Amino acid sequence: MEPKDLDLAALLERILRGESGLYLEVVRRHELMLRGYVASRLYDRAEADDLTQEVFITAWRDLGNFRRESDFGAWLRGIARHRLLTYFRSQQRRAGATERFQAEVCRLLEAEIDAGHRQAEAGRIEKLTLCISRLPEKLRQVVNAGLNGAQPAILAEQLRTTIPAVYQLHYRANQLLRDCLTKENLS
Amino acid sequence: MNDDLLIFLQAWTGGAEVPEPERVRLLARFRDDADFRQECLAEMSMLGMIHAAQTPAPPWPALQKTLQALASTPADVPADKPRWTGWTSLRRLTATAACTALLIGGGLWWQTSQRVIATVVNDAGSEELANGRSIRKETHRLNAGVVELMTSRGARITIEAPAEFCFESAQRLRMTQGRLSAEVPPSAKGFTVITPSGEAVDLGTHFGVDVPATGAAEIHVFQGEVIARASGDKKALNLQGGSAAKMEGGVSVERELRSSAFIQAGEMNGLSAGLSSGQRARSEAATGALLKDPALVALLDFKSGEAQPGVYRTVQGRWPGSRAAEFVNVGDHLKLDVGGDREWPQLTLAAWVRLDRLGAPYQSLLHTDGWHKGNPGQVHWMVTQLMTMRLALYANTLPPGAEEVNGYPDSRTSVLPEQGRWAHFATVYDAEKKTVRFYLNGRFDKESRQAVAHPARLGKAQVGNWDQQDRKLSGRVDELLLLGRAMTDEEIRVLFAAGNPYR
Repeated sequence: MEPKDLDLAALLERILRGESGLYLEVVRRHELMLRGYVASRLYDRAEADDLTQEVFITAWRDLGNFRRESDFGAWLRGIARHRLLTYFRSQQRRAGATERFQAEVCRLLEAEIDAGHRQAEAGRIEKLTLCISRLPEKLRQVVNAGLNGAQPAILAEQLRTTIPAVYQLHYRANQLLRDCLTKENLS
Repeated sequence: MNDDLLIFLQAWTGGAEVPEPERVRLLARFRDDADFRQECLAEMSMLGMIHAAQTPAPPWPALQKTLQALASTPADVPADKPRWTGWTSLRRLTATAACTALLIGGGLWWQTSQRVIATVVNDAGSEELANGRSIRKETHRLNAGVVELMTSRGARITIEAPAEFCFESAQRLRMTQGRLSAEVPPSAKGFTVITPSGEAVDLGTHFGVDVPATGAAEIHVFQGEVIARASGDKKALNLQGGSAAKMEGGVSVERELRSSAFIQAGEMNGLSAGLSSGQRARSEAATGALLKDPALVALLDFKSGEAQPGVYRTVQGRWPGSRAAEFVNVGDHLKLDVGGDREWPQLTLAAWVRLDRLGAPYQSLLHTDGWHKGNPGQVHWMVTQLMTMRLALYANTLPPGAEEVNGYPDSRTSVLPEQGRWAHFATVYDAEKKTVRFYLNGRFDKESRQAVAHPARLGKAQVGNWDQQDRKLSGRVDELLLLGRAMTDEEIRVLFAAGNPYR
């Protein structure tokens, strides 16, 4: 049986018996969800992906402690939450205003460990690509560029508008994407 | 979208400056207002999902290496039992902790090197760094053209070829060759440019750094303040707007500002549009036609790469990868010896010029060496301290009542607005008609009459500084034309239109 055909419990069983290569299949199944989750707390694409990798490494190391009856995704998100807090603490000394704000938001969300996780389910993210492609040109441009760092300023210049207007456009795009995802799930 | 959500997202993504009191207020609302928190979370989650959906997953190299390392370790538990559980796992982890730490460190290195530090937001003729390209921690060689980068902190950096540079971080740029101008917003205060002979630390400003292929780096501050620190020098030099320094031999020494030596963000769009509209091909066609003109005396376009005698720098001209002569220091000049075998009753002088600085008594464009009594018709072409063009021929005179007060034919229009941009200067002399006609950027400016008009005489001459005292030139000269006939107004207009690098 191919790894992709194994259910998660069987995969974990075989990994724990020594077939470490199978862990990549576990990663493949969860990376969309975990990357989305981490990036929803740490809005820096590169930093978020690095931290996601660290979460997978930590999960691999701790796989023996995972309780089989539990939700593996929730377990990964728990590791990610802990890693995010550690990350923000380690950045405290040299962090800029944005990082400090993100850190405080992350800390305030500590009690809501799985807040928003349903949005970050892999199936929804896969459909999101389709939904983005259906956005009107201008909104698609805004979504593709993102709001990272200097992007809002660059977009504002390209679109001959203001930075707040760029955020409004992204917000409008997000609304359309949510509508699209709802329809896709219904169909 | 309510205002608080808008400001919250700006603060959270870092896309706009949000004052500290606003941040504090929003965080309090985020903590206390569950509905607001859910609104924010919905947007944050969507942004996270978009990231995951849009960017392919990394290859996870540190994870792969971790798995490989552990897979190669011998089995020490029966195959029918889970290898790692509880304390077994921890014991095993202890043995591999160092390795894992190293690998995680490796992952951090990989990630750091992959992090997008800046983005190319505009380019003019750069083959290596096209618009939209992400800049990471890697060395970039720019052989031709100009690129404008925006760092993740919002600093706008314009780099002109030939250049070699590497971002150590969004706030540290190491440059081993090239010329950059930087507009640094408060969010990027402290942005530092490191050169082989020292570094420039921004204190919230607009400045330029010139790192020539050989010689000392220079820092030019257009606005604000920059700290210049020569390598090995314990003393830093605070440079205010309007000042410059050269870092040489472990010391920073103040020098004259050359603000226009740097291509700045505002010039990029015109250069980029000029290239896109095919101006370079038009220019080459026009140059090709001039080379076939039987009256051609000289066309100095530096294309062959053959160095002309003199002291000057060869830098990029109007086109990506093309060459021009740059005159930086007092005494820099280029020697020319053409057309000395005969007299020229008609003469057209034209050049693409980029003036760094005005205000010196004269900016010398072309001066023949034989300017002395008994040698009428010697040619001196320059920009005066009144920012007008002048064509003086030895022993020529103005008619009585001429409006020129300095004794020589001068243009009317000031070249001042063209400082820091490529501009086309042209002068047409006709000894038979006793006229001198001036043109700026293809447009006829003024005709001066001469009472006595000797045929022009050329021969040994200098482009750039002539006598090292009051005939300096600070800037670049590209495509200097000497034609032994009088070009018409239309020909000058066409020559400018074809060679104009801007659109």
